[in-house]
Amino acid sequence: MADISKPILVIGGGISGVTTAVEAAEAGAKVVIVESNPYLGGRVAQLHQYFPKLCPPNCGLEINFKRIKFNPDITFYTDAKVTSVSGSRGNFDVTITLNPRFVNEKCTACGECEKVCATEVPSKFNYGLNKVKAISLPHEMAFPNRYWFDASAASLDELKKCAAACKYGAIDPDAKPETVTVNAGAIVVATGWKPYDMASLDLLGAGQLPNVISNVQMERLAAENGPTKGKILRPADQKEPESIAFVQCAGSRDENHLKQCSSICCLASLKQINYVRQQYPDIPIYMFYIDVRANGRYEDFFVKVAKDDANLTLVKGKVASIKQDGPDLLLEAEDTLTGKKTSQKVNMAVLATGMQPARNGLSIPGLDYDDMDFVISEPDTTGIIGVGCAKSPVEVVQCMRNATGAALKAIQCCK
Amino acid sequence: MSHHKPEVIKPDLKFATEVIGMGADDMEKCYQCATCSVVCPISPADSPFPRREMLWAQWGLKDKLMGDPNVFLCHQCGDCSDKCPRDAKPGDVLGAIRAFAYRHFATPSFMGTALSDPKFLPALILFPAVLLLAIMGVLSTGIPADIAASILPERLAHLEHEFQIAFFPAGKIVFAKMFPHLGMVDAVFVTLSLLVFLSFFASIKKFWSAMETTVDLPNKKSVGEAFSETLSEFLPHKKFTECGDNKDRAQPHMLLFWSFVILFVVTAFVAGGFWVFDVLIPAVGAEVHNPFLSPLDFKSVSHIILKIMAAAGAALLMYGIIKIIQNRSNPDKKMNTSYADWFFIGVVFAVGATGILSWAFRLAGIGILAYSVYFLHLVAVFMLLGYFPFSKFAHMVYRFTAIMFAKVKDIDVKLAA
Repeated sequence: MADISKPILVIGGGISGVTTAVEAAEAGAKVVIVESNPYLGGRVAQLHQYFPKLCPPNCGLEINFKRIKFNPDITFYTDAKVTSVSGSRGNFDVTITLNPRFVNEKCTACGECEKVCATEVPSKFNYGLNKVKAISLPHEMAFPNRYWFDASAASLDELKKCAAACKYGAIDPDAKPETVTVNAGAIVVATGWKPYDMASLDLLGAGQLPNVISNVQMERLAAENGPTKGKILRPADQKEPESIAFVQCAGSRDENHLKQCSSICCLASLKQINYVRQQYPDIPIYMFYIDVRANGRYEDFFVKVAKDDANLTLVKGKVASIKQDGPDLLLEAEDTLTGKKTSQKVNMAVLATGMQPARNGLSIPGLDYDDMDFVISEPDTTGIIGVGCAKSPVEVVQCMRNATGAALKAIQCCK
Repeated sequence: MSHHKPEVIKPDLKFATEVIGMGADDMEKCYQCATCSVVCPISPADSPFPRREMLWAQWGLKDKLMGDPNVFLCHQCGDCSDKCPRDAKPGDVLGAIRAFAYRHFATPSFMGTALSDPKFLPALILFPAVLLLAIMGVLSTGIPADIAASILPERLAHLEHEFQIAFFPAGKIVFAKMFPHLGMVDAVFVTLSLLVFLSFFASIKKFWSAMETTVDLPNKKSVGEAFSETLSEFLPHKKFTECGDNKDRAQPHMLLFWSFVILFVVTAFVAGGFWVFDVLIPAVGAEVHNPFLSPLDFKSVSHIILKIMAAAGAALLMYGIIKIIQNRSNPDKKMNTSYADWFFIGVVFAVGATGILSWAFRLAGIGILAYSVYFLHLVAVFMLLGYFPFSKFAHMVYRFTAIMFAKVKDIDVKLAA
C-alpha cells in the first residue's frame, strides 16, 4: 500500500464526494470532506427513486454513511465551506470555515426544540413545497442525525427559547464560527449541481404558476418522507391531479438558459411517468419533447413506460408557452409530426429543468471552469480533480464510477 | 402540405449553401424544437412557421420553399430569433429565403443575379448615372436639343427656349434646366415604371403557380375578397404590430411606407399636372401652366398643399429609415443584416437624403451643390424604382401576394379583432 501521508480534501458530500472519500479511505488514504449542507448525501438524498434499479436513496446512501462512520481516516464537516486555498499539487493549504454549531453532537433528534420554535421557513430540502420550523431535522434520514438552526431566518431569541426546551444541552446560542486548516495533497471538487431556476423560464410561467413544478419537486412530492407523504397532489389546492404534462428541455439545450443537455431528464421524466401511473392508473399524461434521449442500457425503459398505455400521449414538439387558464394550465407547442400547433389543457405540469453546476462561490487558484461552469479536470498538473456533476451532467451510476477513478487519481497526487 | 402522403424529396444541394450565404448563417444549428412556431405572433395554427421552413431549408427543398406563402407571411419581427434555444435565428433564415425568392422569380433573371451580388453594385449605380447624363446632353456633344426638337411633338417646343443645356445652368436654380426638355425625364421614368410593372406581372405569375404547387388545397375565398382583406391589414400594418420583442420595428416601417405613399402622390400630381396642363391643354390652344407646380401660380392652394406634403413625406422617410438603420445596427438584436437588406436601406436613405439636400442647397442658392445632389437624387430614384422587382423592395409585392394567397386558401393566421 502506498504511503499516503497527506489527506485528500473532498469538497462536496454528495454521492460523488462521499463515494470518492470512501473509496480513497478504504485504500488507505486520509480524507477530509467539506459539505455546505447540514447533512451528507446531496441531491441524491432528495430523490424519490434513482436509476438503475429505481431504489429509494437511503438504499445507496446508508451503506456509505456507515462506511464513513466507522472509518477513522475520514473526517467530515457539514454546514461548512472552503474559504481559501493556496499551494499546489501535493501541498495545498486549505482553510475551512464552519458555521456556528448552534446544535451540537449531544442532539438526540427528540424534537422538543421544534415544538417551541415559532418561526417557519420554506423547506430547502423539499424545494419550497412546504414550510418547516427554523430549527428542524433537515430530513428523516439526515446524516448526521442532528437538528439544524437556520440562523438566516430566525432570531437568536428564538434559538434561546429552543435551548431552554432542550433537555440534553445540545443547543448553544452563543456558538461562533470556527476555522479549521488542512494541509492536503490533493483536492477533489465534488460540488455537484443545482436545478436550473424556474423563475428564469419566462415562457413557461417564470416560476409563478403554482401547479407548474420542477422535476426535482416532483421527486419530493412522490417521496414518502416528502411534504405530502408520497401522495402526488397539485400544490395549488392539494387535490389529486386529473391530468399531468411533462415538459422536457425546460431551459436545457438552450443558448438563452443552460447550453448543455443534462442527459438525465428524459429518463427522469419517464421514471416519474412510471410512478405517477402507479398512483393514478387512468389520468391522461402528456410528455412534450424535442427528442427522447433515453440512452444506453435504459433505452428499453422508454419502451416499457410508453407501450400499452393508452392514456400516455407523447408529443414531439417543445412546449414554448404555459399560461394559467382558469384553474387549469394551457400548454402550447407545435406537434412537429403533424405540422400543426397544439394547445393542451392540463391540471399540473412538470418542467424537466436541467442540472446547473453548483459552484457555490468556490474559487481555487489553478482550477478552471468551462463556459458552462463545469470543472476542467487536470489532476496531473494541478492536483485538483473534478468529479461527478461538477465535471459534467451525469446520472448517479456515472458519478460513482467517476468517483472511483477520482479516488485513485487523488491518491496518486498525494504521493 | 400533406404530411402523411409519401412523396419523393428532391433536394437542391446548392440551395442550402446559397441561402446561408444570403444571411442565414446559423440555419444549420436548428434542432426542430418548434419554439419559433409557438412564439411567433402571426404564425397560423394549422400551418405554422418557421419551424417547417427551417427543416426544408436545411434539406435543400428549394421548390417547396419557393412556393411557400409562409416565407412571406413572416414579417421578421425577430421574436423567433430571440427565443430560439439554438440561436439559429429563424427570422434571418426566412429573410434569406425571401432574398433568394426575389432572385429566383426575377424577370429577366439576370437582374436577379445583378441585385444579389455586391460585385455588380458599381454597374447598378453607373447605369442610371450614364443614362441620365446622356439625356442631359453632357455625353452627347450638345445634340439633345436637336433630338428633343425632332422626337418631341411640336407643341412642346414652346418650353424649350426657357432652358439651357448644361450640367450647372446659370441663373435661378431650376432643376428642370438640367435637361433639354422636362418631358425626357418623365419619358425615362414612365418607361421604367412600365417595365417594372411587366416584370412584376411575370414574376408574380410564376410565384403564384409555385404556391399552388406547394399548397395543394382548394380555394376557400375569391381573389377579390382576399385582396380587400389583405389591403385592410396591410395599410395599418396590422400584422407587423403583433410583433412582440421587436415592436419598435413596426412603427418606423409603417412611417416609411406612408412616406412612400405621400411622395408618390406628390410626384404623380406634379408630373400629371405637367402633362395635362403644360402639354395637352396648350396643345389644344390655351396657355395654361401646371397649377401644382407652376412658378407663375405660386400662391395656388394646391401648390402649397403639395409643398407641405412633399416636406412631410421627406421628413417621415428620413425618420423611418434612420430608425431602421439604428435598429439594424443595434448589436443587442439577434438579427443579421445582409447585403440585400443594406442595399435597399441604402437606396431609400440616398433617395431621402439627396432629395432633402438638393432642396436645401437650392434654397441656399448654391448651384453647383444643388445640381450635383439633384443628379444623385435622380440616380437614387432610378435605383429605387428600376430595381424594385429584384431588390428587397419587392417584398411589398411578394408579401401582399402571399397573404392574399393564404387568405384564398384559408391558411392565414386569424388575428384577434
